[in-house]
Amino acid sequence: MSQRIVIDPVTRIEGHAKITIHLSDDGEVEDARFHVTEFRGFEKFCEGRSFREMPVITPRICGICPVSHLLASAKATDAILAVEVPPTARRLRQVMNLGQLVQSHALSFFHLSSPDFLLGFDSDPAQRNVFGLAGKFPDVARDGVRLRRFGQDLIETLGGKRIHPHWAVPGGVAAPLTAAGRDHILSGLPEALDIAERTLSYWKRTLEDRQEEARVFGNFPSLFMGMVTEDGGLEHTDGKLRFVDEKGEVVQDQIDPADYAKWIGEAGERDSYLKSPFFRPLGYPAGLYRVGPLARLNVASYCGTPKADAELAEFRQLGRGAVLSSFHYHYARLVEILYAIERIQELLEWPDILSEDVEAIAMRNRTSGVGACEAPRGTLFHDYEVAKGGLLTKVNLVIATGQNNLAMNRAVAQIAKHFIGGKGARIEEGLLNRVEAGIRAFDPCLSCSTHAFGKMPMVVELVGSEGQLLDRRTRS
Amino acid sequence: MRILAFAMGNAVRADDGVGRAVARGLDVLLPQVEVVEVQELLPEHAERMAGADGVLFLDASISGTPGEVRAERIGPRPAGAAVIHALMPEELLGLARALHGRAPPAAMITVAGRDFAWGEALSDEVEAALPLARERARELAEGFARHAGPARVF
Repeated sequence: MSQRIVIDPVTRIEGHAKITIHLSDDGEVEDARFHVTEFRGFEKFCEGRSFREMPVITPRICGICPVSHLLASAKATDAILAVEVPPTARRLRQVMNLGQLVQSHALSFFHLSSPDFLLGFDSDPAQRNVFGLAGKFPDVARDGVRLRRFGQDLIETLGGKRIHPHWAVPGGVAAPLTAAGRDHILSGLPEALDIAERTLSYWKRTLEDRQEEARVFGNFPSLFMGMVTEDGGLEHTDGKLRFVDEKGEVVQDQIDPADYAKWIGEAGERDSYLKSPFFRPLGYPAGLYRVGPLARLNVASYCGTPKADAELAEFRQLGRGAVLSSFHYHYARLVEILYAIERIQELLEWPDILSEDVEAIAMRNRTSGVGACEAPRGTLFHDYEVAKGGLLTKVNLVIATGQNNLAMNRAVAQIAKHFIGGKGARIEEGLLNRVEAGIRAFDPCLSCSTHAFGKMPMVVELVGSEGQLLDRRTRS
Repeated sequence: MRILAFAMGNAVRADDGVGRAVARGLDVLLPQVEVVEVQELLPEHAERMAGADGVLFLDASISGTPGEVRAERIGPRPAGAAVIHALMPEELLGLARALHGRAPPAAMITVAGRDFAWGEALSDEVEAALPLARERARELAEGFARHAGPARVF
């Protein structure tokens, strides 16, 4: 008789996601599925709107990474206009994208995940949060708040506000950077750099203590995908796509993001609103690939800034090709923060960064356009089709969290196998904590369900093949 | 004496914008006030708050008779939930104390609203309550001086 364990996180916005762990007749974990039960509907209700509105509408998808949607959307509209974005505007978009990466990664590492590391996976959930962290490790909590503030200040300086800035527009950006704004951002870089280096140093010192998590938190061979520059360097805004395998060998390279549909298929499952993209040549579900910080460091031949390149070389020692454990998403986030800080400085010191030529004006010249960028959690695609009048007839959004869906399923199964083992029909608190932490390593953008960590109410049910309740645990 | 006033609310949801309306013109009564307009309180605000001599939170209330002004001193407390984008004023004060060693004296001034639908205009009774809300803010801010410890410079 096969059995199911259902972990149903219910957050303050009810019904975001749940996890089902399938057991075999003898109580061994066979599989796990991560379901998203929240329906958003952006792709459908944007139909009929003008494509020019999309950079205003789509950032509302998320309050954590609105800049990613803003940029991917603006780039899709650039393609519909068929314009060349002025060089200054292109660099300013890159700066904002990196600023968002810093603030989002800081949120993930310091606010959401470091309580697990510093207070312990099995510490009191009521204390396992940034407030508990502030009580016991105020220096770390302060670093997290300040690093996130740096990224948010940068976004506000460029875009006028921290969340949902109306700044990137079809053909460029709405406003140039002022000298005062540039100097303000530059003035924050030394402290941000200190925090990034201090945190990386701490992480590497304590990595030895985290071997169990590294071994079982989604540690398996897979493909990885991310943007790279023309010569294979790390790129977050204007690159081409590269796939590498578990050996770190390039499988496909320099794919134009506009051709994403040729390489990436999108499977749907009846029990989840989250799509499951896959690498088409391998089919579904064998075409599992991972995106995000870990994938970006695995696909990049180099970072391109001195401190980050040194860290990348050290990071690579964790694997015999690609670094495979999803637990190392945390480490990769820290390396990316360092890179972003160095790269922001380079971009702001570009001689024409204050140019007022920041927007190319055009009418609609094409009936379709794809925009892509690296969001903090992975590659994001916006794909629009429009009628001659400019109204949208089709919208397809391929979100980073979706692209990690298959990998998250496998990670949960691996964690469950390790912590349930052959124990069968019992659900222990330790399993909940580690499944929660394992998912969090991917930093999935189910904002509320994953941000309410530690206090995440969970209902866990063990159900037999005939629907009978075998075990039930709740955490509220 | 440096007073920080967090003017909270959404200016396009009618009476929800009353906190911002109270803040406008508050400097006539409190020349030393520094207004920060926010839609939500964030952990980043804790550091700025910890360096102030006193903090005012200006907001709308969904309870009470429309136009009713309530003003009270509030103090720090640990967060009841770990949702960092749903911080309460008392929790932000708690975070300031935990992170920066100091929670300044603080007060909450609310005006009960009637209409929270789309719109930029305040209800008549809410508009009429603005002078009283500002006056209560001034009274409480002047009381800070009697209770405040030394502010820290960040």
